[in-house]
Amino acid sequence: MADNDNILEIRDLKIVYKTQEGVVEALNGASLSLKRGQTLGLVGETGAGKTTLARGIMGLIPKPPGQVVGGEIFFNGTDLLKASEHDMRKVRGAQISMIFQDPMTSLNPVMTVGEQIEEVLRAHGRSVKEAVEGAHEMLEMVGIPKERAEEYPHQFSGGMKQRIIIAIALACNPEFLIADEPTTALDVTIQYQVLVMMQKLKEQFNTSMLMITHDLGIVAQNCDYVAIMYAGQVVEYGALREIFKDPRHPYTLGLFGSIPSLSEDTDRLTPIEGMPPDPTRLPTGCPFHPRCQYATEACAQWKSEAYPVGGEHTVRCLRFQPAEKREEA
Amino acid sequence: MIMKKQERIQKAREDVLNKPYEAADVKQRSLFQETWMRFRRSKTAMFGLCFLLFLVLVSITTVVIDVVTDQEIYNNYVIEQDPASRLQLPSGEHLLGMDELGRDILMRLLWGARYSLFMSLLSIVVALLVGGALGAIAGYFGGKTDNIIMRIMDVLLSMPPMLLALTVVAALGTATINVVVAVGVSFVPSFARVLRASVLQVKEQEYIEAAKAVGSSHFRIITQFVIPNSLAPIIVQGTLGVANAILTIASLSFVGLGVQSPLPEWGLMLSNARNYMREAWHITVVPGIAIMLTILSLNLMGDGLRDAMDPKLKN
Repeated sequence: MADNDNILEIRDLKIVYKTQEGVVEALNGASLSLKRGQTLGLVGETGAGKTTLARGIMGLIPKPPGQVVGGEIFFNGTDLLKASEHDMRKVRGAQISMIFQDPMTSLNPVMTVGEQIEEVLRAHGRSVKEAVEGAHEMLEMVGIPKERAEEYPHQFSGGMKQRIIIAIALACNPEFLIADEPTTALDVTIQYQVLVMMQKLKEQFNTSMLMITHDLGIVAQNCDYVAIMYAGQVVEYGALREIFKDPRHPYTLGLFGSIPSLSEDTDRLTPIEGMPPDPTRLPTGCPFHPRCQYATEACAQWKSEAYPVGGEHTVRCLRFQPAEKREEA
Repeated sequence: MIMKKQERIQKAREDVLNKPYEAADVKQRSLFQETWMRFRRSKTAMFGLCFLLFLVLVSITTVVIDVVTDQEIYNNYVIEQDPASRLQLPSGEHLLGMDELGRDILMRLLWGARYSLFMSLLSIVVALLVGGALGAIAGYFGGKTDNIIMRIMDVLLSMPPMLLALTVVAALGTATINVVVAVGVSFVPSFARVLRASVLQVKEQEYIEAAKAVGSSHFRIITQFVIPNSLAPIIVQGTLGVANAILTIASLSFVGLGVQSPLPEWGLMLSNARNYMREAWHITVVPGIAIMLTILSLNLMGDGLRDAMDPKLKN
């Protein structure tokens, strides 16, 4: 059974999309865990499977073409993949909710924002009166006067729409919040406001959070744990400090190498060579080995698994295989 | 040093959160108001709307007169025949002349407005409800449901609407309500198709996924999220459909399967008049023009609505 401290534990999750061009292995044995009240930052390139992971947790993988082919998602000790659609509907919004990437398209254009917040409350059994009051309360909480509940989404700016989406996500006081690139569509000053507000509300409601982003700066500011994703796998996982002070996986090293540093004076950044692999034809063994400067022949035969490297830090890389295992093989 | 940084962050946070909210200076307009504003700009669409409002007014007034006078005026002027003045040309006394049985054409037109208008509206409403629901369900659920519903619609579509309406009336009899049902049924497939197409588009929008993510039921997602966002094309289609329905009802009357004599239905007037075309031009031209003007108005209004609702033409 799952560890009781962990609100979320994902083991070896495999999700594929069956398209005409072939089977896209979007998630290829992803594992991670999150402790109650903590924030986990999920970092990776476009197409690494971050959003698929979020959708998998919500049970919103579009079927077809999507299909969960293996693994387990424990939420509060129960496997969400075994829950019925009826039960999942009760979980969504009430216990797990999601903040979407693009505030411009995530709100229903023909419904007032007040009604959209009420929608969550109504969906989870509140009376109309309670829902209206709750919606007003949530609006005030995200810094929008309740008088504006009667207005439509197109009358709000992008930052305010994102606040409304946050209000919707938090309306039922969920235990767990998934934020899928919540600030990607916003400019930096609004990003800051939204992040500060999310942090404050998260502390106020004692919510655990999965923050999906490709901005390492946001991760450093807001997260307690970090998971680095590459080609559908979590290649490195650990506490914030462990990852930022002591990155181990060659891909993580590459990511940090491609960010400009304030303290060092470099003329050119060092990007990661090559392109992310075609998800319909992943390389054998370690999916990163064709781009990895440390790659050996063994990497192509290696059966991908995570190795602990001290503390909670784990790395999926053959270089960190413990000595005793190496002898077995 | 670290404490200082923490304090600084804390202060910045408070600044952001305590910053007074500034109301954006946006004019508050609902989607309906915006559509109306753009609709108003089109002169032709406004002409259509005005003419239709006039017809509605005429219909309501004549119905009220009938109720108040216990159909006295209806009996004396609309269906009472006067062989002496048959086929009289328009004159000061009878502005649009008399028909083949010596009835005032203007009176018959005014009293007949209600049939064309309300029968067509009713049949379109029936078609919208049935076709809309079927289209929405087919589009939203997709797969087998979609296939079953849309293949049935295809079967209906493969018959000419007029023939379909004729069949229904022939089977059910020529009561007014049967005509409404017949015309309604013949419009169901086209509405189902239009709504399905726009539902397919709306279904992929992120706010539908967001609605699923908060745990809304399928019923609420369809009625609160999908349908309101798919309405624009079907409203336009519906307006144009009313024009077609008027024509179909008039045609049914013309071939004798619609509204029966002596009711002053426009299509029926046209049908009865056709034997006297050579002797008296006005008894065919007048109801013909009335039908034409109504359909023209509906089409102009439909076009105006389509333009007003098209977000690409905003501003």
